[in-house]
Amino acid sequence: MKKLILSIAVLTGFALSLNAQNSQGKTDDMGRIALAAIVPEQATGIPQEARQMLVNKMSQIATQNGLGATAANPRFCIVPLVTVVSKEITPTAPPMQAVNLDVTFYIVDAASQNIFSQTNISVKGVGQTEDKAYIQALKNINVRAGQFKGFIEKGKEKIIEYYNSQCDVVLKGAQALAGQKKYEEALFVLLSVPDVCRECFDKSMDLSIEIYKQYANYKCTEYMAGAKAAWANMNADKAAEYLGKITPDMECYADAVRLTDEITQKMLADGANVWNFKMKQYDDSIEKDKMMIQAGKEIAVAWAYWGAAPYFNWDWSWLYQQK
Amino acid sequence: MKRLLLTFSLLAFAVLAFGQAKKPIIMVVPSDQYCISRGYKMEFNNQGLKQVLPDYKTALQTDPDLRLVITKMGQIMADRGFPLKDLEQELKNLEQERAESSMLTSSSSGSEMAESPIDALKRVAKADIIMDLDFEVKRQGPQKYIVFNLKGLDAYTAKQVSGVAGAGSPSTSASPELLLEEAVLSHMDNFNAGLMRHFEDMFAKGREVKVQIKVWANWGENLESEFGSDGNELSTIIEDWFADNCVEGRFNLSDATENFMKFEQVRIPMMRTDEKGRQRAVDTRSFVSDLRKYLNGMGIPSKLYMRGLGEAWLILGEK
Repeated sequence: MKKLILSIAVLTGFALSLNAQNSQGKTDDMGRIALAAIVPEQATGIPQEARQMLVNKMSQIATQNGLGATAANPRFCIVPLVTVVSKEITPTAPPMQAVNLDVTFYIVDAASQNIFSQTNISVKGVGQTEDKAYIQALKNINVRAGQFKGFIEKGKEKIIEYYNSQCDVVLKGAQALAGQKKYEEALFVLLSVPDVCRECFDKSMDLSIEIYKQYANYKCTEYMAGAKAAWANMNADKAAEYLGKITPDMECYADAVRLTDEITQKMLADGANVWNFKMKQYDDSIEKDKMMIQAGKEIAVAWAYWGAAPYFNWDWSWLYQQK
Repeated sequence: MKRLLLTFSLLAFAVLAFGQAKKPIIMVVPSDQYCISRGYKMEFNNQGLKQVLPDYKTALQTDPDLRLVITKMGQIMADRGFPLKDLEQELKNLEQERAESSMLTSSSSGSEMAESPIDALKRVAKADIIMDLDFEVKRQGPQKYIVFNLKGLDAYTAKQVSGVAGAGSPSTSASPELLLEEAVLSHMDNFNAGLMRHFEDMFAKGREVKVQIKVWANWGENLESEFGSDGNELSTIIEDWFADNCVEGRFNLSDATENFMKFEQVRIPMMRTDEKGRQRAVDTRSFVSDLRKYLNGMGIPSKLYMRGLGEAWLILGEK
C-alpha cells in the first residue's frame, strides 16, 4: 500500500512538473533575424497618412513570419517601393480618384546595400482624395498571403548565406576602415553581423576586440596630447578632464598615471589643497573581452546614431532612384 | 391661357406615361464653365496632367444665385410631374452614407462590410438626365439682364435631349433674384417641351441605351471564336440577338474588335410581359440579362456590370 501511494505521488509530481514546463518551441536561427519595417523618406509619392499604414502592414508581414524589429536598429529592413501604374480622376460629383498601385517589398541590408528578397503585389483603391485612395488600396494587402511567407523565408536565408559566404569580405572591409582610422564605422560593420551566422559572428567579435584596442589607443594618444597641452598652460582642470577619459585598457594608461602623479605633486608643492582627481579603475572581475565588445558596441551604436542621423540615416538613393 | 393648357397636357401625359415605366432621375447640375469661371473648382495633378474639375459642393454652399435658380427649376419641374433630385442634398447624403458604411460592423464578429474599389467608385451623385445649367447676370448701360443656357443631357448616350438658351428681358429696377426668376419661368416650358418630345420618342421607339460587350483577359476565347452548330462567330451571334430583341430591330454597332463590341442607340422596350404574365418595366440590366442567359445557354459565362439605368457592360468569360 505504501509503495502504491509513493508511486502515485511520484507519478503525479512528475506529471505536474512536466505541465509546468514551457511548451513553446525554440525559435530557430532564421527566426532570430529581426526585420524592421521602414518607409524611407526617399520613397517619394506616398502620402503621409498612407506611410503609417504601409509600415503597419510590413510589420505585420514580418511578425507573421518570424520577428519584427523596431526602427531603432534597422540594418535588415523591409522597405516598399510603390509605383502608380495608373491614376484616374472621375468627373463626377464628388470627383473620385482611383489608383492602381504596384507595391514591391524588398528585404534589404541597409548598410551593405544588398537586396535579399523581393515580392510584388498589385492593389487598387478609390477615394475622394489621393490619400484615401492610397489607404484603401494598401488596406487590401493581405498580410497572410502565401507569397509573403516565401518572401520572408527567402530573405532570411539569403541574409545568412550572405554572411556565410561574404564573411571574409566583411572582415576585410572592417580592417580597411580601421586602417583609415574609421574605427567607429569598422566596429559597426563587425557588430552588425547577426549572431545566427555563428562562424562569421565569432570571427567578427574577435576582430572587433582587436579594432577596439586600436581605437582605444588612438583615442588615448589624442587624450594624452590634450592633457599635456592643458598642463603646459597650467590648466589642471582641463588636463583632469582629458585624463579622466583614459581607461586602464588603453596603452598609454601608464603615461597618464605618471602625468597625473606629476600634476598632483606640483599642485601639492604649490600649496594647493589635495588634488583629489582619480583616474578610472576597472574591477578585475569583469571579463576584459566582454567589456571590450560591449564598449565597442556602444561606440558603434553611437556612431550609427549620431553619425548617420534620423532613421540611422541610411542612404537609400541606391534603391529609390530619383527620376 | 395657351401656356396653362400646354402645362396641363404635359402633366397628364407625364403621369400616364411614367405610371409604370422606370422613371429617369433628373438633376440640375451647374455647368463646368459656370463653376470654373467663378472659382468653384478643384485642381488635380494626374501623373503630370493638370486636371480641373468643378467643385459643386462649394458652388452650392456659397452661390445664392445658383441656389435660387435651382430651387425655381425644382419647383417648376415638380409642378409638371418631374420631381428633381437635389444635387446638394445628394452630396450630403453620400457623405453620410460613406461615414455610416465605414463605421458599420457586424455585432458578432466585428467584420466590416465588403466593398470593392468599384463599389466605392459608384458612390457618386448619379442622374439619368442631367440639366446642365449656365447663367450670367449681364449689364447693358443702366439695365441688367440674364443670359441663360440650359441643356438636358442623357447621361448614358451623351445626347442632348432638350435645350434652351437666350436672354431674359432687360430691366433697370428689378433685382437679380427677380431677373433670374423671370428667366427661369420664361425658358422652362420650352425646355420641358423638348424633354417631353424625348419621352414621347422613347415610348414610341423604345428607350435608347448603350451596351458594351467585353472579354475577360483570362478567357481563352474572344468575340471571333466560333460557337453554335452553324459555327458562327460570337460577334455575329450577339449582333443577331440584338436585331431580334431591340424595338423594331434598332441598334447601332458603332465599333468592334475581337475583344469588345460597342452598341449605341440600342432601343429597348419600356415594358414587357414576364413569365407570370405581369407587365414589368425594362431597364438595361433586365434587357442585357436576357442576353447573358442566352449566351449562358451556349456555355459562355459572363458578368453583367451596370452603369446606371442607361448603360450596361457584359463581360464574357467568367462571372
